[in-house]
Amino acid sequence: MRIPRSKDLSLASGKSGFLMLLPLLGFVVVLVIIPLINVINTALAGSPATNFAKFFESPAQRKALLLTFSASFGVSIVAVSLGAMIAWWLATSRRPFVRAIIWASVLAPFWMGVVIKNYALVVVFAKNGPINYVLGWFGIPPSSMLYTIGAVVVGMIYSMMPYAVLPLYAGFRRLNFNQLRAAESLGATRLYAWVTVVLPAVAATLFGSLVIVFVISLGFYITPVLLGGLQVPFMATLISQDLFQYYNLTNAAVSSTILIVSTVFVLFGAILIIGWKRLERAIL
Amino acid sequence: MKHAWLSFVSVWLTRVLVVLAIAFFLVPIVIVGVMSFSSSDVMMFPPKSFGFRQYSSAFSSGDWWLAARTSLVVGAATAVVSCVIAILGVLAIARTRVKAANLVYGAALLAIVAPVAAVAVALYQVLAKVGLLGSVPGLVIAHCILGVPVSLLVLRVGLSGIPQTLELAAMSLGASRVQAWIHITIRLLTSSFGAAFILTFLMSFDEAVFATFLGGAHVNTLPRAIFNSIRFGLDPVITAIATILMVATGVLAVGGSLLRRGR
Repeated sequence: MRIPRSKDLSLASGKSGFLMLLPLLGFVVVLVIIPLINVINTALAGSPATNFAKFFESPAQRKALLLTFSASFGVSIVAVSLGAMIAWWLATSRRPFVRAIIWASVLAPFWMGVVIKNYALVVVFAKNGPINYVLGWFGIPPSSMLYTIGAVVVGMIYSMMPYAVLPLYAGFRRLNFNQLRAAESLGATRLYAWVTVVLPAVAATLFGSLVIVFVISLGFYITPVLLGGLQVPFMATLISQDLFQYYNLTNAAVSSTILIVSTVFVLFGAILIIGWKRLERAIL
Repeated sequence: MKHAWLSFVSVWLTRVLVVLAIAFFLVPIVIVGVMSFSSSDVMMFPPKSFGFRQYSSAFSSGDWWLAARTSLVVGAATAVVSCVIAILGVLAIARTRVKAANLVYGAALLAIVAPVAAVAVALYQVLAKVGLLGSVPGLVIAHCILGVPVSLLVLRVGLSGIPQTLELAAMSLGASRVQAWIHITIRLLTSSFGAAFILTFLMSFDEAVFATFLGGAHVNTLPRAIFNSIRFGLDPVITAIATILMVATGVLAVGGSLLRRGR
C-alpha cells in the first residue's frame, strides 16, 4: 500500500474536520452572512433608488450619517493616539505598581459592561455631578455637559480604549528595544528615535487598530442614546427609531445597509493595505 | 540631535496625557461607587449623607431580581453553546486536514467587528421570520454571534499551548483519536474552557443592544432594564446595582484572565 506523501497523518481526516467545522460554518452562514444579505435585500426591495433617495432627502438622516462617520473617525484617531501612549508606557515601564494601575484603568471599562460604563459617565457629566462640583470651586457656573457631541465622543473613546491599547501593547512588545537604544546612543533624541525606529515597525498595527476602532464605532448605539440623547442622533439611534417608533423596516434596512457596506469597504481596503494577518491581530 | 527641547516636551506631554487619561478612566467607577452609598433620593454630588438606602431598595425590588435571573439564564446558555461550537471549530482548524478552516475562523471573528446596530436589524428580520423574536432562545442565538468569537479566540490560544505529541503518544498506546482528544487535549484545556466560559458569559451578561432590539416585550435582561431606566431619568437605585455589577464582573473577569494564563 502506498502512503500518500502530501497528507500529514498526525492530523485527522479532512472529512471529520469538515464535520467538526460544520457548526461554526453554519453559525457564520446562518447567523451572520444570510441575515446581513437579507438586510441589504430589504433595503433594495421595491425600488432601490426611491428607498435610498428617501433616506438622503431627510436632513435629519443626512446629519446622523455625517455625525456617525465624523465622530467614529475622530474617536479612532484619539483612541489610537492615546492608546499608543498608554501601551508604550505599559510596554516600557519596569515598575510593577505603575503597570498594575495602567492595566486596571484600561481593562476596567472593558469589564464594566456597556450600560454601566455609560451610566457612570452620565453620572459624572450630569448637572449636579462631580465635574460641575469641581468647576464650582473655580466659580464656574454649572452647565449640563450631557447630550452633546463631546460627551458622546468621550464615551466612545472610553469604550474603545482596550481595542486600541491591547493590539498596540502586543505590537510594542514584539519590538527589539536594542535598536531604540542604539539610535539613542548614536545621538538621536527620544522623539527622533521613536519616530524613525519604533513608528515604522508598528505602523501596520497602528493602522489596523485605527480601522478596527473606526468600524466598531460606526455601530455604536448605547453611548449616543445615553450621552447624546435626541440632540445627537447617530445611525444606530435612527435605526432603532425606524424599527420601534415608525415601524419603517425599509428605512432601518437602508441605514443598516449603509453601515454594512461601509464596514465591508473599509475592512477590505485595510486587508489590501496591511494584509489579513495583521488586521486579525488588531481584533483583540 | 537638534530639537532636543521638542523631544523633551513630547515625552512630558505624553506622560501628562497618559496620567490624565488613566485618572479619567478610573474616576467614573469611583464616583458611582461613592454615590451608591448616598442616602438621598435624588442624584447629587457630593452626597449629603451616606447609608444603604439604594442597596435596600435595589434588593427589595422584584423587577431587578427577575431581570438578573433572565440575564443569568441567557448568559449561561450563550456560554455553553458558544464553547461547544468553538471547541469543535478550533480542533478542526488545528488537528485536522480540513481545507479553508482559517477562512471560516476569520469570518466568525469578523462578527465582532460588524456594526452592532445593523446586525441587530438583520437578526430582527431573521428571528421574526422563525418566530423567536422576544424569546430567550432567540436572544441566546443573537448573543452567540458575539460569544462564539470570544470562545474561539480563548480556546485557540489555549490549544496552541498543548503539544500534539501528547495525543500522538496516547494514540500509539492504543487510544482512538476521539479518545485522545477527550481524555488528553480537552482535559488539558480545562482552564482555557473555564476562561472561555466566564468571558463569554460576561459578554452576554453585559450586552444591551441585542437585548434591546430583540428582547421584545418579555425578555428583559439586566443591562436592558438599566438602559431603559437611565433613558427615562436618573434613578439613584441604579448606582447600587451598577456597583454590585462592577464588583461581580470585575471578580469574574480577573478569575477568567487568571484561568487563561493557566495556573
